[in-house]
Amino acid sequence: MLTSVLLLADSRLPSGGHGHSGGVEALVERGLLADVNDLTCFLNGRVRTAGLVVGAFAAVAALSRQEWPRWDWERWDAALDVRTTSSALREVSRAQGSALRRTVRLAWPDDPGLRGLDDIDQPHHPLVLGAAVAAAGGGHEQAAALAVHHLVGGAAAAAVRLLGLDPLRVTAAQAGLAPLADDVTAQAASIAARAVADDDSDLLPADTTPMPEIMAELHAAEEVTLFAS
Amino acid sequence: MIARTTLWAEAGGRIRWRATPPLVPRRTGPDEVHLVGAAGGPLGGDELTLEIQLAADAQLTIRSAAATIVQPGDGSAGPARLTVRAQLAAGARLHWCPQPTVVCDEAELHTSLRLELAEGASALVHERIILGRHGERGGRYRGELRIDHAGAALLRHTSVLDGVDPGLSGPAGTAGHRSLTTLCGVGGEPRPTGCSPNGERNGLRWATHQLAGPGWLRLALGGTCGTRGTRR
Repeated sequence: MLTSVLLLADSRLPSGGHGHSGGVEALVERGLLADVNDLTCFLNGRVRTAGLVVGAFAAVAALSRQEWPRWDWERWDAALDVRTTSSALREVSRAQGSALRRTVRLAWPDDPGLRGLDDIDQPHHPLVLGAAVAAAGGGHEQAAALAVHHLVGGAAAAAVRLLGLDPLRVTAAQAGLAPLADDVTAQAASIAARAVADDDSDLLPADTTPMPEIMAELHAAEEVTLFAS
Repeated sequence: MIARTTLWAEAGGRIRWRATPPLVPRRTGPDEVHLVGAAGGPLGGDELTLEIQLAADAQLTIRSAAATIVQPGDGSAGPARLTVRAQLAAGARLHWCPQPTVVCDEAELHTSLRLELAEGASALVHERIILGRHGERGGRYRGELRIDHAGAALLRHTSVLDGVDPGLSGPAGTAGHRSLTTLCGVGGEPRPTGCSPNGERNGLRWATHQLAGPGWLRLALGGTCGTRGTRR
């Protein structure tokens, strides 16, 4: 089980994540994120808001296994749609979800949860990730942790490429954020468990901050960028 | 302080209310009321609720007479809470346009604006949060915007602001900006004209989002000054 789950944590997993900066590129271009300290601040804010949301949805998807086959993927997919204000970010999440689905459907071809996701045209990334963690034998807390891990890892890797930051110091910054990420993960997993038990998506978090939402639209309108988002 | 005020509006301009201070409405036009602050605050620990019922084809604009200044209560009081719930029947239109809310240093405000629109109803929401008075950095704010349209969820959006927290006042949060303006139109409400949907200039950054349903949301970050031109 551990090996399978670690496969999903690997940044080399072919799911298109390398093409996205998690909002870092737009900030770097404007001089608003320039060094490791700025990156640490950025990740701290993102983990507590976007991290809580993607973690909760990944955990929900991992819990779907208990409820299958009466699980309604479309409802939970729509619940993430109404929490993703920016249409640019909805497209990013769906594109990455589709890319990840291609990979994990081939890896776990007989998994009923992943097969159920075929009903959605382009599922959101956290739902595919959570369903894949369940297919790999992991639990909902691990699904939440992986969603937060990818949010942090994608942004950190992009910052290294865009700013030429010292990868050792960036890794140290990520290690420093791990206790916060663990707290957010536990919170996301517990909210998700309650939402699934009560069958109520309105219990899921919708925490957000204005800069990433505004920057997402400005970035999507730029003609030449290194990263798609 | 715990207070609850209920407003009813019907087609043809009939408006009634049952009010508890500090949320006291005063009629200021055929389809318009102003909320008049009839007490100081809100302070930490206050729980204020405004219920709004719009019958079929009712039109109502709600403004406030002055900015809301949120100040800290005594340390154990917890956040000030303001909940606004509006139900709109078919053909009704609500324009929610209060004056800015200033969250002072050390203060904490949690707001919840919940709109339920029937098919054929429309709403325009215009709110502005300012972090701190002159020379302050501002307190903490959680603002939930929750909109259902024709029985389906349209938007779940909880803005989290903090003028002091490095994670939330930095590049992932407000990036040093001190005000957040939220403009949201639902159910065929036209988008504002007169400036481009997205942009950055004069210390402002804004974007207009097409929601995953019949509505749009404009978010704008800026400084603490400037007029809002609320008469539209």
